[in-house]
Amino acid sequence: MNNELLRVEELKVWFDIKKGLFSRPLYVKAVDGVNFALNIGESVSLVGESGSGKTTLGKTILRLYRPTSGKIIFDGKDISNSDSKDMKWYRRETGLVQQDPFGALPPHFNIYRILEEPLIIHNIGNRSERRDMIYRALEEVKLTPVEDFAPKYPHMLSGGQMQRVVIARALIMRPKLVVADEPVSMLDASVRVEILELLKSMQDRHKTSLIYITHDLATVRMFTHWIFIMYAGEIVERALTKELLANPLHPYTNALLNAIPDPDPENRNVLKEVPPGEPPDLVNPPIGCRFAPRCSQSKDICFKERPPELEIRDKHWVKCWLYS
Amino acid sequence: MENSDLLKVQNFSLSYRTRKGDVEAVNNISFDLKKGETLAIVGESGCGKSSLARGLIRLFPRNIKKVEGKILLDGKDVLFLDEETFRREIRWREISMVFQGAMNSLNPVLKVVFQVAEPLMVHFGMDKESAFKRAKEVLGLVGISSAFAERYPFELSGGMKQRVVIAMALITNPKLVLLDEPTSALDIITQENIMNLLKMLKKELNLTYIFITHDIALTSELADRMAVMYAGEIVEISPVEDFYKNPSHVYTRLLLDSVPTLRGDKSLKSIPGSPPSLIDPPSGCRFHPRCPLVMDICKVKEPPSYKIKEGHFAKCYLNEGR
Amino acid sequence: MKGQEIISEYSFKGILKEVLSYKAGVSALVILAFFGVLIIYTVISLPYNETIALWNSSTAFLKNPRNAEPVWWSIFTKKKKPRNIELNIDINGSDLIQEGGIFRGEVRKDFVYNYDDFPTEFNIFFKANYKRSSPIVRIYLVRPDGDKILLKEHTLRSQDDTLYLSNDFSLENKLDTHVRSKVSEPIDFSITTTRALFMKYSSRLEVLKGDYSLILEAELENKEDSLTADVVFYGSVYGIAGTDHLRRPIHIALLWGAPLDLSFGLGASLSITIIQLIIATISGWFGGLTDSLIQRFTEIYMVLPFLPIMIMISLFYKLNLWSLLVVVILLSVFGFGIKTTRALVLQVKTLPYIESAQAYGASSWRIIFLYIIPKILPPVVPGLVASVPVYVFLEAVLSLFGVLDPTQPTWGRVIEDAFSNGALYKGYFYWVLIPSFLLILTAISFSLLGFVLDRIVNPKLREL
Repeated sequence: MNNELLRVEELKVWFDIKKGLFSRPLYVKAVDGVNFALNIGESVSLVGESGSGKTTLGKTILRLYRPTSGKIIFDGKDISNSDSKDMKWYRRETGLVQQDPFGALPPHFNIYRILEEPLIIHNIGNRSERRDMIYRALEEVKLTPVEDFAPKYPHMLSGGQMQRVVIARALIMRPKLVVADEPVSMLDASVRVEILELLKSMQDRHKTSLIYITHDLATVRMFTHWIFIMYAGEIVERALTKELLANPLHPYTNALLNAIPDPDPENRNVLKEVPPGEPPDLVNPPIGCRFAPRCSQSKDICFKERPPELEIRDKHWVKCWLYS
Repeated sequence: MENSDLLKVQNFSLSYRTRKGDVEAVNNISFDLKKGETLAIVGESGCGKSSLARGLIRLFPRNIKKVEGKILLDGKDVLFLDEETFRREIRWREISMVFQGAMNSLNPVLKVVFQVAEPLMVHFGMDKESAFKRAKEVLGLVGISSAFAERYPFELSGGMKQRVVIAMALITNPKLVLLDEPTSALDIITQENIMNLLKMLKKELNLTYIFITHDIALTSELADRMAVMYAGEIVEISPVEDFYKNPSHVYTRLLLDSVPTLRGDKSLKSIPGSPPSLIDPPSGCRFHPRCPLVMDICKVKEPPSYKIKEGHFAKCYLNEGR
Repeated sequence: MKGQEIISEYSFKGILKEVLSYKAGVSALVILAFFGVLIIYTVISLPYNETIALWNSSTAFLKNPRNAEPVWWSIFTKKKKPRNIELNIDINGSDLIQEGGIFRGEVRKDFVYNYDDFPTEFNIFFKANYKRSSPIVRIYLVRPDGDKILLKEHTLRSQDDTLYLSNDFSLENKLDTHVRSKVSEPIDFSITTTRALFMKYSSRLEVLKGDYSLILEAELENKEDSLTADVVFYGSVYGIAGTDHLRRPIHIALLWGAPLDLSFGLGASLSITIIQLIIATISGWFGGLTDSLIQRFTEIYMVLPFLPIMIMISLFYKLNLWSLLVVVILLSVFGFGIKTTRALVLQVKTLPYIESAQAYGASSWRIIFLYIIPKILPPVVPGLVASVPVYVFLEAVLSLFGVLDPTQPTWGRVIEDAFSNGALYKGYFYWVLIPSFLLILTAISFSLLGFVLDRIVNPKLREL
């Protein structure tokens, strides 16, 4: 029971796009009422299309954004509204791996300095201890010989190598939680697998909890314990990976799974069944279920009321009127 | 004429001059394409696939150094046609292109229908009224209602903008459409919608596509034949069935192993190392530094194109005597 | 890869290598190297304080000609213009012959006069050392034609006495009569002292070239008394840059102008750019109220009339170059640069590496100084370099307005002197042209360097 690392309760993140002095203010409801819990060492894939709020959710959990309402409880402490000066410990316990390795490293620092920065900021170790930590971190991400890589500048590395540095930096302080935001989507197919495997092995080795944000369901199959499916600012379905892939319940999850192309030459002769249209505008989302306008199974109630989140099967939650 | 070759590319090479040295972006590429057929060209970033596509429509960058070979369109060499004739008679009339990220380069101050109709007015000298009428027809074909045709690009969603870009490529009834990563910036469901559209158009209009992508799984949606590019060369070209069942170049096999799938239980592998610089490519087979099955000869001598069967060629010594 | 030096694009070596790959870069560096050598030479050979004292003293340059052209200019003219001729005469114990109650000395100095024009002035500077009564001197000039003229018999008025012979009317009248007695035809030009001494005795004004001698006779009271006389026939060319209306060699001002002007320009440009960089980064990074305040303040600042304010300040305070520097910096920090830099900051702010720095706990100040400023520095540097001449010119303009403390020799100061003395009207072109040329050279070198650096840091321009 006390294994819990992170709990998110009714989290909402709204960005104001128009301040209302006289008129009604407008918000982009990027994340709108998200609940989940994550145990130590567990990993979760946050799957959704762009604009589904998955990146906002991930970054809000890291408190790079301030939540509009709701709670983020990390290690029993509520950090949802802490000020930055009370957050330093939290920065040490969390790490971030970004999508774009080409922009994620400061171009004017060499690799050694890039990895040393977090250690300097958090006053960890003396010079020689830091050196050991940096070299060990480079070894762990297989950038060897480390002496060759340490003095290089980011632009001298390939995309895959840069992403390894990013991973090394995110993990150098041994955080309890890492958020990886589409860590391979900008890399070539041939290096994606090894970066994902590296991330997984690092996570296993250090018992780090991982939130893996992706739009690509195909890569999560053998990768994380949980899959959360996000649509238009909500988690519409969450379950353990195997359970979700075997028994997808939400119509959106089904559509998403269907849309993933399989490398089968027969595909070219058939038209796929995919929901029409595109995700709703998050300034004025549909009143009821947000997927209802695209859903082939929608009923009247879907357009009127937001569906509750129900645990339909063991550890398998879904937000859909079909199951209520 | 039914099964004749629409496009024949012979020994096509391109190189660019940069401050660091000359880049051989495309090296001695030959292939042909029948009418109504779709060729997918796959490869990692920097393998020269976009340079090849832009080369086919003769959009060379300013630092171009060398253009060699032949591009026969309907039996006529268009590579060295003078630029004015090519611009007037070939580009967009015969060969059109959907550029990578083109949906983000729509002119924000012009209505969608105007942008689609523009090639008609420019290339065919059509008057505005009939050009707009035709543009609305084509927009309807790609699933954009006439109400949306009168709007500006920022009022459309990503998927709709991509449809507009496809309509722009189809408006002149070209024989050949080059698709350079037509769905790369789109979400999976939208991407499938666009692939459905491309499939439908292909069937209805008997279109010929060259489909350029890094996403192998996606090619299965459209391709009749597959060409695998590596470091500026086509290392294997095959009918799509053989591509999956009988990949004959080591690189193709490894590439297939690195494709994640949702169904099926294969374990994923990655290819060690990264693609070579095209300024100073490796000797012999360009893939040999990363190849797990490398032999001595691969390091010295460039492999010839082995014919595996009709329409299936691979540049790999492992096919010697097979 | 082992042993291979890793040259970062941010290292000095890397940048130098790139700069030298452009012709413009090479020329800029050559000009700057020239200035560098000039500055080093100046600083070593002309110590600042002494030079400034010298420049502002009223007596140091008495033996220089007034408003003389540069020496090299006569290469381009057919006339060979006279240079200064200075004869140093020393009369003391050993030369003296006792004659009655006095000691008599005589010294003869020979010199060749081969120029096409007459000396501009003729003065003798005496320094005497005596106990009671002052020495009496007689000065003769022996001309190549054998004519020996007594110029003056003079009793020194003090220990330091000067005879301004070319301004001596009685001498002039005497020589006028003398010349007219030698020439039978009428003479229709005015006979000045220097003309009378060096002309052919004819009705046409022509220099008599040849060997001249100056004879100085002195009568001293005691054997221990002594006398030195510096006889100067002033030329009309002097030094590499000529002299000004106060007989000062202009090259001294030009030499010191180089370090003063360049350090003013560099100092202004560097401090303004860096302060603007910091303010703009703070504005862009923190956003909100801070940003609004800084931006509004900048806008107000930008509409303030710079030059009138400068002139007003100079009316209340005596500004030397360094206090001017401070005032210029203060008046420019909230300039247009803040707007452009802030735009850059807003772009850089959204880069993923800034976000990850926040994620691992970097403070705002750390992000500003270690993450944003180093990143936007490269695109700002070309502008910094290119704006050096702007401030050098500003200094020149302010000098022209007479805003600056006149004791510091700068290029602008020299031009101001030239203008206020009607240099161009009177034909003293060198007085204006040489400092202007140096200003332009500065502008060209820094602009070229700025242009090349811009190409290097903005790769989009590179393919051109």
